[in-house]
Amino acid sequence: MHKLPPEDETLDLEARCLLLESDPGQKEQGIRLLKQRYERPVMAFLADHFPDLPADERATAINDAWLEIYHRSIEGSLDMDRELAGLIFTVAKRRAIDARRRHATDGDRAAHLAEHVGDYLVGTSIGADWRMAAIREHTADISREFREFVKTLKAPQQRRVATVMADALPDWMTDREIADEVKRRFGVHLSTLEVKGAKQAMLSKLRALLKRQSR
Amino acid sequence: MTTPDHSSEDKALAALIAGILHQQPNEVEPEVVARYLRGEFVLSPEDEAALRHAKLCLDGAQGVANPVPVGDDLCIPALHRHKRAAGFSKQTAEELEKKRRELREKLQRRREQPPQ
Repeated sequence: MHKLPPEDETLDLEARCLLLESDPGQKEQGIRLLKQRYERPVMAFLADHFPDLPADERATAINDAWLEIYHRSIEGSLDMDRELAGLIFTVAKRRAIDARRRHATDGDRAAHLAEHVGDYLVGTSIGADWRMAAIREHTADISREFREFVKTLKAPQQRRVATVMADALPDWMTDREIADEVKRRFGVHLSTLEVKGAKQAMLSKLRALLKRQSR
Repeated sequence: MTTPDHSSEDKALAALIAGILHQQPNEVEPEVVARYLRGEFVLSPEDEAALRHAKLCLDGAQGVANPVPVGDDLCIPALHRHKRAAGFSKQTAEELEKKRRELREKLQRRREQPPQ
């Protein structure tokens, strides 16, 4: 069981005390305390797990988490017996997922993405490599390394390609369609050549990671 | 010898990318939270800027408009500040008061503990 460091435990407790007060000013102070301490770690967590989402969407997801906690404290539905740190990370993550699903071609299918991924893997050598990686319990490492790679893509436009590709599944978009979607969503102009380059960089990276892990 | 269907292989890769970039809504595990709270990260300038520019407005809870800034990065609806939360039942209000007392006492005890 991972406990919070003592200073964080105290801060968490202090914030819960403030959020339990009926005075909105006190509640606001509770949110301010949490925001000061947890905002940057939560941002780092979201950056690692949603590397292709624009930074402002991640920041909005975090703000949505503060709002949700504030509202729950008003409604009296906040579990005050549990530390808030874990809840803040979880709510921010879920709001980031919501942001992603808003853009997905089919939100309901996006919610069941895992099942669709399997459909695409059947009968492919990529699917065989992934299965092998799963047997060796390497899939979490591959996923983490790939997200790290996306985070380090130099041009944000390249990350936008990753977002659009990821959100389009199960539809397969052409390079032109991806460029149009990036323009529509992010106001960024990309040539089809740039889309192709970004796509190839990501496909090659994942292919290389899979090969390395399945050896 | 059969040659691989490059289109299917690329689609499989793209599907995996989608799977990797989409997250499941399960709870963030305590060990993950602990790792980030230890400060083992570096935020990009882009992330730092996004946090600086993101303005949190604690409105909407009661449908009150016209938020007023109460700090550099926090604002709260003016009317809301004078409004009490929706009335709780007597029992709920008592439970909340009890919990408030418990937590305050716990906090007091922690503050009185010598630093470890």
